[in-house]
Amino acid sequence: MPQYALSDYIQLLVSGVSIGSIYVLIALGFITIYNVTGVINLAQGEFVMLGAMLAVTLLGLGLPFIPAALVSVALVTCVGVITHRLTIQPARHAPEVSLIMITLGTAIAVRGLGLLFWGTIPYALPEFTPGAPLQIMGAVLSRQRIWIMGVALVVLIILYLFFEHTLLGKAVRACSINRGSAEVSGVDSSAMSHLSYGISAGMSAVAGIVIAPLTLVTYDMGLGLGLKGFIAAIMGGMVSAPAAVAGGLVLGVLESFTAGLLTSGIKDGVAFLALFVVLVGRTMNLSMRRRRS
Amino acid sequence: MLTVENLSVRYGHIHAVREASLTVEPGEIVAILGANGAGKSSLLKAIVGLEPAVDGTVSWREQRLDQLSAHQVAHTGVALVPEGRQVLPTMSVRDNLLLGGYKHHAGRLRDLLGPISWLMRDVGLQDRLDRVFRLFPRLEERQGQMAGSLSGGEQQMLATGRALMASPELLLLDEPSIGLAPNLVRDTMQLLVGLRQEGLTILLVEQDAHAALRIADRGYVMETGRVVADGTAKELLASPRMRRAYLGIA
Ligand SMILES: Nc1ncnc2c1ncn2[C@@H]1O[C@H](COP(=O)(O)OP(=O)(O)OP(=O)(O)O)[C@@H](O)[C@H]1O
Ligand SMILES: [Mg+2]
Repeated sequence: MPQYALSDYIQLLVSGVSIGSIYVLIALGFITIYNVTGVINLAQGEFVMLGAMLAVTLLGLGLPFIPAALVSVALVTCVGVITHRLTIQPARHAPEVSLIMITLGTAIAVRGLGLLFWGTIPYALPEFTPGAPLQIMGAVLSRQRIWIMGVALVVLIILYLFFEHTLLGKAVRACSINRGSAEVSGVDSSAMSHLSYGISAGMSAVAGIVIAPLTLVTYDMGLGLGLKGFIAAIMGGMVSAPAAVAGGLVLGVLESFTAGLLTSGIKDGVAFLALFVVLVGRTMNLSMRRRRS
Repeated sequence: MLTVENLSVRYGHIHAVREASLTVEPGEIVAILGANGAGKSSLLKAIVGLEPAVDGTVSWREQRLDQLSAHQVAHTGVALVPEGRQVLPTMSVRDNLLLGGYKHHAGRLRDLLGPISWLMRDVGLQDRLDRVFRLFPRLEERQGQMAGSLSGGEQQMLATGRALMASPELLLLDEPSIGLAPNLVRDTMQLLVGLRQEGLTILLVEQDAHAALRIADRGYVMETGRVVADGTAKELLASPRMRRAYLGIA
């Protein structure tokens, strides 16, 4: 039994929180779209990949880092809106399962196009501020992890301000609560659906760009990250943003501790175990409530 | 003037409204009466664009509404107080009212994306809020409360206040008095009379035919999707057939 120092735990915790922040951004993308349009968008992970890939490509074209990142996020936001316009809106009266199949098709198509454009080779995105890792209470932290947490926090704050303190944000929420009554007040609910797709694609692109320096960028990176974000969203009940934040962070920390203290081989299994526990818990909770009533 | 001609609404094979025609003149209060399932709500929904009309036309002040979607109809000065209130339960009373007036801000980026606290300083918005609070002082007291925690009667006030925030010229109400105590029903009807004096045109769907016809100028009676009778409020109240069959008053 190896001995661990406090600094080891801190290190695992911070890595967990930083990777968890990525899951949070993706999970919030899932629930934003789900709340407004009722669609579970299985192409969410592809927006993550596109964000990172486009940033790499734009850097390669000679753009400085910040413009490259911003242009990439803007482009992916547009891709999100276009995806909704072309694939979801025409089918919005179709059953939920059909819509999910459509998003799955979109995911496969985007991944395929990614393979065509960028091939199978992994690309690297430089760290935002290269340099020696920081030492905090004995734990060694790469600077990029600090960036990940900082950027995620900023995105969360912007999202909070938008949804709680602007009329447009409230109109989007109104559509997610009661589309008909929002429409009757003059809210263009299909524009709000477009917006929700754009916001959520843009957020995922940010996630892709901040994680890229740690993981390398490949055409299929969206698969795994999208799945983790989805699981975090489900852990949070699919509707509540604070719960999705908790879900993402818990998942990241669980993975990090399993990988650090046990073996990294079962790291991915942890996500599915967590999903299993949450789903079983839900079901038991539901059936218990049903029995009581 | 609102003109509905040969309007039909279908849900799959259910023919909810069949070739209904009616008119509402400016400044009138017109009642639509009829038993449960007669198609009254479907008719209102089709007028505001919430349900597509499979046939027929709706025009309001030389404008065709039947090709518009609901949010576009809102911009033509038509507002609906929907059946069952349909307030946003997890949002505050104030937010419900703000969203009711969304159409005044829809094209203005500054209003949409600026902090709500700036928006609240908008003079037009303040006037609209004041007017609603004058009509429903209870809503002012409960501004910060979640709409879902209001009583049924208060939610009805909120639903009406929200529609008024759009400063409509034509107000459609779908059973605004359902579930209210008799004195609140009277208040509701008085409120509508007051609104008409301010220049609003009102189309009112009511179960309580007696209460509705007391304030209405004219009425239409619907049965299984069709308009089967119409006339002035007096005529409808006096007609023995109406009294027996549709109005539920002996
Ligand atoms: N969304 C829907 N899907 C299918 N059928 C519907 C739908 N809405 C209404 N109907 C049917 O259409 C018919 C007319 O309904 P509608 O709600 O317009 O009646 P109503 O006159 O408003 O009745 P009430 O007085 O009970 O509110 C009814 O037979 C109803 O079952
Ligand atoms: Mg009805």
